[in-house]
Amino acid sequence: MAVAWVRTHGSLSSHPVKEGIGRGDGVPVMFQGKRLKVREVFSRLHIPEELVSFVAINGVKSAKDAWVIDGDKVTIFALVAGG
Amino acid sequence: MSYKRKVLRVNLTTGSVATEPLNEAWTEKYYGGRGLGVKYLYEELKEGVAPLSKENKLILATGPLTGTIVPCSGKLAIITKSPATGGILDCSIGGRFAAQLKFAGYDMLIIEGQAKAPAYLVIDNEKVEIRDASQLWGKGIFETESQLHGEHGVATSVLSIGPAGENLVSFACIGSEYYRQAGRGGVGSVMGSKKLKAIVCSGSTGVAVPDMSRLLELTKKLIKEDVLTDTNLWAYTEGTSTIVDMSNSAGILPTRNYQDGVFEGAAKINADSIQKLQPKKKACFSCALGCGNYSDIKGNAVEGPEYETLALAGSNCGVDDLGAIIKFNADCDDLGLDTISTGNVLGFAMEMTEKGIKDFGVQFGDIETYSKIPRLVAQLKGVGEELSQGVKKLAKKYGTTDFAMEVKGLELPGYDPRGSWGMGLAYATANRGGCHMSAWPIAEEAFGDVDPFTIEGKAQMVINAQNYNAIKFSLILCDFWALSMETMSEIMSCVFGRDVPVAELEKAGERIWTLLRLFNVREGFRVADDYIPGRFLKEPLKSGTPAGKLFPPEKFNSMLREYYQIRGWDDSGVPTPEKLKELDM
Repeated sequence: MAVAWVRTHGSLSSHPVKEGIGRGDGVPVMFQGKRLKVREVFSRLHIPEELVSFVAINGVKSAKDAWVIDGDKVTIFALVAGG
Repeated sequence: MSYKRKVLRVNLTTGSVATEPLNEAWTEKYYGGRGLGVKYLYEELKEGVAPLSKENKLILATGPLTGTIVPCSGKLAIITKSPATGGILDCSIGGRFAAQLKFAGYDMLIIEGQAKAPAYLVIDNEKVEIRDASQLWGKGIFETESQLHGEHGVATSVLSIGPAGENLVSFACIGSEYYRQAGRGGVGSVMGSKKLKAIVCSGSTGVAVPDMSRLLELTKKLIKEDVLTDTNLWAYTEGTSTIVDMSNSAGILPTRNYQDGVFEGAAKINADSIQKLQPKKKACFSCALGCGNYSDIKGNAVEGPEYETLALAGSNCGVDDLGAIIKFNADCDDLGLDTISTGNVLGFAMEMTEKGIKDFGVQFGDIETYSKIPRLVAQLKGVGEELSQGVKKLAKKYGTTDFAMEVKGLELPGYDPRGSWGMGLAYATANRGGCHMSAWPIAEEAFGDVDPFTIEGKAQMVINAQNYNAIKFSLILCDFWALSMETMSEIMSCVFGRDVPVAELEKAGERIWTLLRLFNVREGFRVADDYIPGRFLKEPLKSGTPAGKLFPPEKFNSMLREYYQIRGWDDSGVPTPEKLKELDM
């Protein structure tokens, strides 16, 4: 079984926390096979895609249809305004 | 109508205090805040007035929603001619001052002239006094505010400057409630040039609206369905510090004076690091979001640090020590320095030192010297005297304009446009100079799905955002509430007691933006002033997603030409007579 570690930020930070999974290294998302689409990660965590600004895999901005592999750290950023 | 229909005018040269009717014909076109304040300044200021002379004016403007229960409507607009750019300057500041000014019975306060000796202004409803501030002169903002609260009561609101404003530092700010600032463009030095240390305000009247029951129902609905939603709650949960990781992941986090866009120490200064300090929450008057993160680390209390401070005073200076950044932030707040410009100037000085062009005695990541800089700048001591002039003047002196990270004399905030070309156009065309508050295409490009490395559609994207923010900041609604024009229309219709359609607001937004441009055109600004720093056009980014990318000059010029065409401006960047007629100007 492969695992990716997923963190959420901004207004999305409440989603995993609400489920009692906590923060730290993030939420483990387990998957069969070698890879998993980022969009599937959204689906597993019940995160509406329209609330996602962008995703970083191992600290680098990545497309929402990119692949996640075993050991990847996925960060999901919520929409923000201003600066 | 929610206006008080009254302007308070104070002349510090003569000591006169007078009230006059608000120009209500102008409120129909410019509403309040940025729009109405700039209209007054445009009409009252002659071309060529020196920003730090007694002829310049400082305008404090409320908006039509100020003092009402409309959410996120608590900010104050401050308008003047900028000593940093020589052009128009409008800032906003959170807290309670705007509501107090309205409750005291005024839509706007216009400050003219120059006091002979340090003074402060006390506004208590109709009673307005100019008082001696010699005992306060030289003190920091924290002590000034404490003393004035002690004398006039904690329920009053205070705006004040620190030593930086008194000493006319080109990037001095105005502070309120200790940790809130009207930060940019040297607004604090304009106040200092008038020898005005502080303004204390309290009011006890109400604000009338045509149908209070309707406004109450609308407000309840807005707070539940439009404000406290996933789109805005990032401001409450983590605040702007969340943008550190976003910018770093997108490769646009200013690092070592914009030499790179990825900072190896980002994880030490990001939202997670700040949340470990367990900050308390603070909010402005009438705000349901409460974006303020109040932290206290080893006696250095700050609200924040906000993203811009973490970027400019952190990664841009090669500093990854959160404690050092918090101290830097607290010192700037107390001394009355804009953290964006101070960090930017310091990054420039560090690069000058690194390259051996001029030894300012401070290196990237040198926390010990870095920590001393704000005080030296504010007090014009040592290297601080030279740094207090700002990046543009320093670069001109040493012939290093390519890595002077400024536009029109205003130091850039925390987004590298090589990874977001639309942001480059936004910087170049912002009327107050290198500014992120006029348009923020970062959200769509670097943080979104729009290709950051194309110019297609970007001119229109920037124009739409500039017009939207022009009206939003004239109604003085907070930047962090991502509301639609339709919602603005609904609010304004309720508060004005007449239909205020979206089309009217859209046209007003364009009119207000054009008026700001006209102010600058009158001061001689043209196409050559709509630039971005040479570094962005010549040096590719080194790391992250945009590694190898720069902003090709021909693309930038093409984008700017398209921007002028869509705006209805001529090739030199001047609005055409036809456009002015179309906008009823």
